[in-house]
Amino acid sequence: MKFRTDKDITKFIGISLCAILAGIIITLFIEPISVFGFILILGGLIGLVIGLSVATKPKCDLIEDERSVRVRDKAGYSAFIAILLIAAMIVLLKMLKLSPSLTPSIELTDGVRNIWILGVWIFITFRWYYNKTGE
Amino acid sequence: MKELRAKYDLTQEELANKVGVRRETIVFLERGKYNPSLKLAYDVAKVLESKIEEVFIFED
Repeated sequence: MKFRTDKDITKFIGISLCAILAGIIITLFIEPISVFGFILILGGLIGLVIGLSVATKPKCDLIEDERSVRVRDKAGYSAFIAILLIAAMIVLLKMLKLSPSLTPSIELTDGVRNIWILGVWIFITFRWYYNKTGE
Repeated sequence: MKELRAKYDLTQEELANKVGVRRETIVFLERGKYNPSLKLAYDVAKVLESKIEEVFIFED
């Protein structure tokens, strides 16, 4: 099996190894049962496995072309609409008060309502702007 | 488009490099699953030394 040794992959594997080392040092010398140390070791191990897996594949530079830009734009638009719909649903559930289990908490409803109102205004503003500039 | 590319003995990768897009974009174009911009359609047609309407089939 042949491994790539370019700058990107060595940097990624190096960071993963440093995380594992830092996690071990924290667990051994600073705090015996440390959540932070455990997260560092686990994150480092996952990073190491991913890094080694990627290193076995040939390097390919993904250029940004019109299709990838269009896909990203559409994905952003869809995600935004999905967030608005979810927020609208949460606000609606709060308004209907169907059952305690289906009724979201006051804090959640307030936060979501603000996001929903802000989101709608941002959407209207951007749509007006792009329509005007011909994008 | 596929036939024209074969005529000029170009791989998808080579055509993609010539017009400055990803190989996947050429794959989708050949499958008819992507509508290119006018610029990309023009660039592809130019590389394949053909008219745009010879490379791409427009459907109403």
